Amino acid sequence: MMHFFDNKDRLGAFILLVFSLIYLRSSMDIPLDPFDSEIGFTSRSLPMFLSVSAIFISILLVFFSFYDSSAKPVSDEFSHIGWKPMLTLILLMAVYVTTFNYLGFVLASALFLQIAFMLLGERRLILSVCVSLGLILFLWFILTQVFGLYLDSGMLYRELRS
Amino acid sequence: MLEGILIGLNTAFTPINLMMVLIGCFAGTFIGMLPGLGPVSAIALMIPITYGLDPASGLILIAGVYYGAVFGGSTSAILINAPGVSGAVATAFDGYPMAQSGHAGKALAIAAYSSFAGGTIGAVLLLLFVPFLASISLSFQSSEYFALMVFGCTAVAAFSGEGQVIKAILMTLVGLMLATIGEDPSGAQRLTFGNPDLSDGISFLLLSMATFALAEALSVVLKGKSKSNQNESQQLTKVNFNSLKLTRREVNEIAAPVGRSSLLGFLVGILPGAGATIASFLGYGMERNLASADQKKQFGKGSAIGLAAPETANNAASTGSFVPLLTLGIPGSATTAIMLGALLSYGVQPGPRLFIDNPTVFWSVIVSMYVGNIILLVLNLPLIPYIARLLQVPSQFLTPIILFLSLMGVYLVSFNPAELSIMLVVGVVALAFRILDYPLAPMLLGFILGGMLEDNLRRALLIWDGTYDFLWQRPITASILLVTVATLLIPSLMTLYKRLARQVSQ
Repeated sequence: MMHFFDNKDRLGAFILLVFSLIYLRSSMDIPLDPFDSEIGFTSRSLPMFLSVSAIFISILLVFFSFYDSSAKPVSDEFSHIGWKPMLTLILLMAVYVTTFNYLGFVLASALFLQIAFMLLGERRLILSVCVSLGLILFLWFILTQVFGLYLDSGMLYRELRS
Repeated sequence: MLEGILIGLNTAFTPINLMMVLIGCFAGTFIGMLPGLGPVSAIALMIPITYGLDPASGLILIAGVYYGAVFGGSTSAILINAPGVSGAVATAFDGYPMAQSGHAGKALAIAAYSSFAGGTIGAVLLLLFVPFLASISLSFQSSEYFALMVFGCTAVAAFSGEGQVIKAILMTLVGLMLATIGEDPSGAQRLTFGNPDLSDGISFLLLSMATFALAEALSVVLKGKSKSNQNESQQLTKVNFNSLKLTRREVNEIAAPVGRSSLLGFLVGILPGAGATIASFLGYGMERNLASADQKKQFGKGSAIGLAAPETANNAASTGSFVPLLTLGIPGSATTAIMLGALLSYGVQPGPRLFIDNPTVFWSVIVSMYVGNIILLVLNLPLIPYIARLLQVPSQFLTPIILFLSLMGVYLVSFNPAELSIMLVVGVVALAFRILDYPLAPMLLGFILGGMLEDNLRRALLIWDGTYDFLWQRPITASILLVTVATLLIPSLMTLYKRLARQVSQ
């Protein structure tokens, strides 16, 4: 099974095939406007045409992938050295996005940058804190004081103040 | 036309718009110099800033960023053999050897003068072409627009290279599918799964930021470019900029190639999907074929012609790619697709009516392109040794800052943290497809054209009483669709022919 998916073209086409099938199924649930039927084109028409075309082409691509020797194996990608920092960075972004409301712009963003700098190998703590905090405070000042934009100070800040 | 140029000059030469071109050129040069980040990412990062400006100023800033990024891409190609954009790959062939032989300043000057000449000739041709083409396309109806949208979607796929055509078509379809999410033209909610955050559809800004800026920054981490970045920084400290002046003999040598490559680049740039990369390679190839035996020996070793030709063609093609965008409303490249998205979000509809309905936007963009070229030549070129120092900022600082700015760019427009979650998911999926070698530009193009494609199809069907007869009864519609089929079939047939020929010869 793993060997089946160890081909970039095939794996990509298979993912898009699944996506197109889900999309096609969901397209069938789109509510219809009675006036649309007069022109023979409803809200479902284009989504269904697109999903059927995408299903056809993904199957074609899966089929061709067995005969095309130029497609590279997916396992080649695992030899790259950056998987761990990249996945950690994505996880860090997910944490940043979910804690944004609670910690607020300044704290969440400064922490995100500081941890990201360290994750990517920055060891000079004072310099990285200066860069992260300096950049965020500069942006906060420009956005709130110059452009008059509202940036959420965060639930934590409000709880502490109250 | 003269009146239009005066409108453009009036708008482009206001202090705020001159400042926009200046900022755009500098920001674009810097971002374009960073390996892995090209004009598309540079423009995507700038779009949130332009939302607070009027459409003309916003587009002027974007045009400045575009030219700056193209220039920046060439600079890193010449100085460190790391083309920031694919259009600058051919520039590195002779630019890097020239810089290595101690003439970095001269190489940068040749690139800048050639870019300026290509941009200037391109801008003049644009001035002539656009109103002419726009006046022809004024007679277009919904059916022609529908056919044009189909052509726009397929052209990018057709030019995507051997082995990529089917994948590009599939990705265009994915983009079109994503465009159907949200409220449809009749007001029905489609594929929102009851989520109110999806009722307005996926935001163009979110998709472009996630697929380009975010995914590109993450792929820099994946490829472990931090070490190569350190090497590049070390390389930069060794570059000898010397004089930026060219001798009369050198100017004479490159004059004719610059003229030829400008025309070639512009014509290639007009073709939707062809773009700057193909133009630069064609320019390089053409000049190598036309060169004398002695000049030919210099190619690849620091030839002035070998550097001037791709640079000129590249810049002229960038200008030419505005022709289909401004006249027909179809983008010819990922960059112009992002610009089309930006125009639509400003409430400006590109196409033949743009120069009638929004003459200020139309002419000021054309004029500011020229102003951008002048700024790049007069200000950026002398400052390049200093701007290049910015490349020495370690990537462990740059990458997180780019990721943060991408996320903030989307947040500061919507102020909705839920969009950040959607963006992260889209960015990770885009990165996965980037790793699997699936092109993302056709997806963005499909997404941007999707809404207009459906609107025009619906309108055409209403006019034609629900029949599809307009596809063959309207001559212009039928012709555009025939060209579309030919554009799609010719590269596939060529590939098939090459494979058969290879098999026969074996």
